Amino acid sequence: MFKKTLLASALGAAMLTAALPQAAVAETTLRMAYDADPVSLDIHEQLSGGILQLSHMVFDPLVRWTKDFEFEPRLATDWEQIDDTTMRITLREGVTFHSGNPFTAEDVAWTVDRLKQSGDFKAIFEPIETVNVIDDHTVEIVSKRPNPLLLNMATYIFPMDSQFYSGETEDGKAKDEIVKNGNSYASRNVSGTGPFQVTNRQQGVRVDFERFDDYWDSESPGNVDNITLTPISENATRVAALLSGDVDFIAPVPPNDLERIESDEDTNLVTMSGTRIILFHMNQDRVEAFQDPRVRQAFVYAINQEGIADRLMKGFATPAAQFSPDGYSGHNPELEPRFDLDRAKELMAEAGYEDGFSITMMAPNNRYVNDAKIAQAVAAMLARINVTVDLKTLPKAQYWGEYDDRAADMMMIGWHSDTEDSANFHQYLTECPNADTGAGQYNAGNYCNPELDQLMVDANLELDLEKRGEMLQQLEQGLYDDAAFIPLHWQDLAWASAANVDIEPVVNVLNFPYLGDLVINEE
Amino acid sequence: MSTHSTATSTRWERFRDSYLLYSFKRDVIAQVSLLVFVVMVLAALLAPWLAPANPYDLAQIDILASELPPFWIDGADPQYLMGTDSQGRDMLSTILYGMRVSLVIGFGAVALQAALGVCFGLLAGYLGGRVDAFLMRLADIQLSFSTLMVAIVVGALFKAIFGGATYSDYAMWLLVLIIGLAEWPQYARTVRASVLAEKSKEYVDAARVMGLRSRRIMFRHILPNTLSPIFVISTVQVANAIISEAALSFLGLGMPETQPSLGSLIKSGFDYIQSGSWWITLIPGLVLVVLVLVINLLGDWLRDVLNPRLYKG
Repeated sequence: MFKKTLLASALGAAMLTAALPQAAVAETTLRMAYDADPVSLDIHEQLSGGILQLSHMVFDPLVRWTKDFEFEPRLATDWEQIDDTTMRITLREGVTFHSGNPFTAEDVAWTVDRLKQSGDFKAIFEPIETVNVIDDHTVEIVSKRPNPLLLNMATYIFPMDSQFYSGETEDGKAKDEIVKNGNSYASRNVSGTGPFQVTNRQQGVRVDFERFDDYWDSESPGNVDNITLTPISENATRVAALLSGDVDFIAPVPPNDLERIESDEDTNLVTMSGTRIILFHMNQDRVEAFQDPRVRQAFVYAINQEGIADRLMKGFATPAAQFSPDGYSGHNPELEPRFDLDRAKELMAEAGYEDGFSITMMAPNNRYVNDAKIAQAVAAMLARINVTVDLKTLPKAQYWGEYDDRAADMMMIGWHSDTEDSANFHQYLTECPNADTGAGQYNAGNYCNPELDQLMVDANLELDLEKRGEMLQQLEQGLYDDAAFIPLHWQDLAWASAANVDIEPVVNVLNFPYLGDLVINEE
Repeated sequence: MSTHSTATSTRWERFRDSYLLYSFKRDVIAQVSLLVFVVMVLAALLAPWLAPANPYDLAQIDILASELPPFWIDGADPQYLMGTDSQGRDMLSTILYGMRVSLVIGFGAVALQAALGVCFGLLAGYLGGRVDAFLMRLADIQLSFSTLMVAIVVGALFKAIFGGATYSDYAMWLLVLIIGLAEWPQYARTVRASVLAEKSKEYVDAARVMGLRSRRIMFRHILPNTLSPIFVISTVQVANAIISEAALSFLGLGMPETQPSLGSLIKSGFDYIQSGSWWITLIPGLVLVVLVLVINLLGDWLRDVLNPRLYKG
């Protein structure tokens, strides 16, 4: 109690708010509405924005990104490169899990081990050879080869409670089992070190969080005691809920409502230009025509990226022609969107598909900003090159299951680089699929070009960053020439909250709001 | 030849002298309603010739022309009189085509309901006993499933069995079938009640004594005397069926996104209603309201005319 009052006063003064904070007697509750709730409580089941947002609430990473892309120590307090392939990490002491178990080096080793088994995460952690436990609060991470991105990876290591997840459930299943889109122990039970504990979860209805009493980070200014997360998939309803005061924090904010929220005095709006690429895959396994690069190019030429970014996204997105957004080392400034309907028709004719063909298309309807509308617009654009599209849009809870089954000829996906590096896009979205290494885990186009894969491997071994950037740009050029996928745009980010909820300091371009540090000012 | 023309002329004379026409001539609301209704039906029927664009042809849609306002607002393109929706569809054309869907579903579903309901009602009322008990319990069971629920289940099953592409092709007929099957008890109950009242009258006894078969008595003797309530229910049910279709499409369970009806058009504009582009929802919404209103007004008028207590007493 004392601590909270003190912090609140300090912050109140800093924020120059008129209202003086009262003694923190009442509990502070944040009611927030996202477009969807997390699909599982197992943070290794799916590599997705929703799961990582959950990870930052219930768990803590070893290190995390600050707003200006510095590493901020969390469960790791110190790190030191011992030789080319080994990094020694000192862990925070006095940290406990929600279950009451103490956090030790064993948990880190156990977590990395589990990450290397997870179908979705293994490709990121492939370069890690092993984790050696030195003592209770020191580990050494050994890489297979010199690895400039090890700390970037560490932002994805959220140590899990190894004791809690060890053993078997009553029906004889291992507690640490990872089942995709299934019903495993870890998908229903959770124990982390994070600022919040899950107290109640009804999938698709609501998730309740409560602040963890023994949270290690006593420096954190965060004063939220309870969080209620309600999924509201309808854009207009989500905005109306905020404006009417039913919820205090919403994301994403639909582009057509930005002005309305900005002009409302009772709400805060925070926007950032984003780095998440939205794209369509063309499945070469399901549709023979897609094996012909001319057909793939024709599809790319038929899509008006500028039109979508301008009209559907209201300029709240940047039209894309490649994976890497501006600012990434792999961003190739020469690649421009290539909308040209006549060229598209020519290419279709050259490939012998003048009369077009029929395909199926799937897209989520509550994952990316305006996802279903974008899919409809793309279907309409493809009609101009005589391609008939059977479009199905579905909620993300079902969509990712269909995605893993590669259930349609064209599927939409958005990708934010997990390592803030260009190679991650290719590794997950266009590398030749390989279930053992996890390569191409989200490559629903089944595109495969071993030369480009080799280029990426070479780039990852290159320690000269300038040379590496050139190689990655070459990789983008190769994908562009081959029309490996249909890039649409980089989606901008927007969050909105009630005026007394200070979201600006906790949101970031990664779209992982650090809600543990969120401050709600007393009204 | 001459007998035939006399027959028609007397029929025409009978209509000219009827109370129906007499009251219609004196009821301005009924006249206006009928006029509006006829105009809407004609506009819907002639949609392929009247509409400036074909909203179901995706190749004609241009995303760059999306969310244009109707002609009386600045920034409108004269090519799109009523503006465009968020995908760049011409609103006027989509509304005309959407009205076609609404009317086909309205009348188709009611024809199906009436056919089923009248047959079951006649059988139950005339035969009585176990048939009556069975059919009326069936009606009770049917009524306890809401139309929406039936639509969700049937639609999902159909999509699962035949796939989304087939569903898009037959969505309109499937909706006719669903709404038709879900609401037949409305007819059956009313017809049964009328039949029970008529059954004990002397003309029925007379027909039976003459040795006529049950089927003939039911359809040729009793049915004509129960027509008035059937007409009145029909007008209400057409309006209901149109609303049901709009509701289903609004929820995403009706017409596919690529073939918008009034309901799905209202849904697609819902995101924009408070952020400037209100016409995407408001205009089709108004059209829907007017269409249902005139049908209901006609139904009201018809009920007053056909209700013996109101005009004879």
